Amino acid sequence: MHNIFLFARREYLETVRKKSFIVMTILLPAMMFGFTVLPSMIASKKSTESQKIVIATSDRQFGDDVRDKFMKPPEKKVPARRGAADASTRSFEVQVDTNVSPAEETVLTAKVSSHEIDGYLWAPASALSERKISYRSRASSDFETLGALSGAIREALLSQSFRKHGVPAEEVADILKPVNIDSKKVENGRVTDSSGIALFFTALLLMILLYVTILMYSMSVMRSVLEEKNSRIFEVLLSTATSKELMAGKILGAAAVGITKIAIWTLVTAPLAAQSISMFGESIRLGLSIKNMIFFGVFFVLGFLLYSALGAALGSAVNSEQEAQQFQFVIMMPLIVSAIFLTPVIQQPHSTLATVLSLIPFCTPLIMFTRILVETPPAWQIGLSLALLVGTIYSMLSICSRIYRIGILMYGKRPTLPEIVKWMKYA
Amino acid sequence: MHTVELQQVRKSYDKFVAVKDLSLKIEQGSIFGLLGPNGAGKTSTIRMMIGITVPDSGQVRMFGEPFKRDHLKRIGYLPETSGLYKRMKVSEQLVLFGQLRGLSATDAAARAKKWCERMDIAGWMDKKTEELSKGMQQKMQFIATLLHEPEFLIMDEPFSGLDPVNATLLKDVLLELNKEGRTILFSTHRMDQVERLCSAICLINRGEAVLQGTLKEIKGRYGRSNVQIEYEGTDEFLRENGLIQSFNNYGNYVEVRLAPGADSQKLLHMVAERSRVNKFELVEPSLEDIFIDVVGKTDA
Repeated sequence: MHNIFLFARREYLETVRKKSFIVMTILLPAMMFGFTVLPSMIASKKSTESQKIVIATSDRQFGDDVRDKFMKPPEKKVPARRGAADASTRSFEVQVDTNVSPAEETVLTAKVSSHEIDGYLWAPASALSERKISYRSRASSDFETLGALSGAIREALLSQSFRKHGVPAEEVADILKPVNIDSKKVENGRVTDSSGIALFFTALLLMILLYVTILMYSMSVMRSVLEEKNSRIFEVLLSTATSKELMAGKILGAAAVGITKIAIWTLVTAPLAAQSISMFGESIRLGLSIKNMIFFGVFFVLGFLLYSALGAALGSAVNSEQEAQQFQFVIMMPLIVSAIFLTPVIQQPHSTLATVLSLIPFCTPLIMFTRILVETPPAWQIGLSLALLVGTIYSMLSICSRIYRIGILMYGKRPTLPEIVKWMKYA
Repeated sequence: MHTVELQQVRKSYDKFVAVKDLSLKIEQGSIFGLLGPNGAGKTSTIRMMIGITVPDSGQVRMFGEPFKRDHLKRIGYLPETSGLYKRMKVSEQLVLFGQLRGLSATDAAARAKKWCERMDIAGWMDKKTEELSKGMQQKMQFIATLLHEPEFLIMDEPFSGLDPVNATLLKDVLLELNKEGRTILFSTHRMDQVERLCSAICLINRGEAVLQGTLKEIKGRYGRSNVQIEYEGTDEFLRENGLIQSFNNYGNYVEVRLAPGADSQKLLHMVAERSRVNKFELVEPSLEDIFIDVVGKTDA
């Protein structure tokens, strides 16, 4: 036990003292924050420049309708109709032009080219009847404006035809009122206030955190074993300790690094977690209950242990960094598989696929944790997955120490798979 | 008592037999040389001695009993190539190695300081290991094997990478430790380096012991059959056959191995006839000569 502690402490101190540890611990969440939250924050900020749009249509009433609908702020933010919501946060200047002669078309096109206006809606009578209206602008890929426009046009056309049939204006507005579905999670027989979209983003955020960190550290453990092997430190170490002690120390050291990371993240994000973040017009509260944080910690550390052990096994089976790179896919595969199935699991956390995946130890840290976030699975499943995970970690550890012990003494040539199997049986 | 006793020890890797039924005994308090060319099986033998690998057959006895891991605390092993963590501080690393061998942190630190002063690297204790030169790292590794005051020291190529001054320093320390009663095993292919240090040797080639015994006994077996000649003039005498089995000519100096039964006086006359002789001395063959002789015979 004493030796395991010594090795773990050495491994821990060496990692934590590295500049890359400090940088990555702070940078990774900052980057994720930057990639997910920041763009929507920027987008939701009012742009100081207003866009000038001309609606060219032979039907003055229709033109005014479109302009009103387009400019009018929506009554409630509805994530499903993102276009309208987002357009409201930008400022527009809309003019209605009833001249739809070919000459006017040329003039408007020239105005777009010369930046006088940003775009124009071309809706002559023929286009209206065919419902084929075109919007011409320099930025033809401005989907938000386009979406908002098309929504406004649809509403304008609908209210026009309602009016034709004699429906009063108030009723038209009532009919066209959008439906807002608010998704809430039912947990322990209660409706909680965590919304579906918030859960999705929380799951995604934590998944990326798990994925990147586990991947990075399993590689780092692999490299550290490789270094010991190539510098022949193992010869000195094995003349005092057993390979099992060495391995256990190395992997526990890595786990301590993982715990440190979580502790830092928790301290930094705890004040943030309770705050709402506005994203896609939806006010999101990260679904981080104490329970979820504890599960995150548990799966994070266990995932760390498992993949560190896998990294260590690879490190002792290969001879050089180049060779190691060829085998990195062994570590990455289960992580990638988990990432691929993330969306189906989030959508149907109780499906057979999700259940089976979450019980495969190499996928458990990512998939089971996601399931817990989205919909708490039966306790026996969580228990079973944890038991399988711990069991696998333990057997990985003993397999690893065997590969390590023999692999490091057999440098020179790359071992074949049958040889590795033979090593596992040996000693 | 014997510090180490190998009985018919055998180790093979796949089809390659690294050590073939090797038996040897190392007397307590002696300096023992495990000699042989590269790839002879020296390191494989040492690894079995200290339990890094397990022999396929045969037995390892240590301090008079079958090997057990507890013995490792009484052994210090200096591996052939540097086995140090590059990014660790010198002092921290030495303390770690001391602790791994059962010392307390404070004890280990005190001893590390004392030894670093003795080995002249005290000024480097706060540096990272990778900042040290190869020779300094070798000295550091040496200290790491000594910290726990082992009864038995295994030195695998201890002088490699050391300049003459440091090699002498290391040698003096080792002789001192030996005087205190510690057993030392040298493993090397540089036979000239340990020839003067060892009291007993085991010469191995291709995993087999080809010659073992005390140095005195071995050299006695070969007798004074070598002649060192310093001469001026022609070296035609070397071509006279019948007397000379082999020679190693350095220009004005030649080492000659006499043919069995040849009379050295005859050779002296022959040399003196045509050249000026400055020195003519009958000597024991060097270990290297003996080794080449023995290996030449077994390989033939």
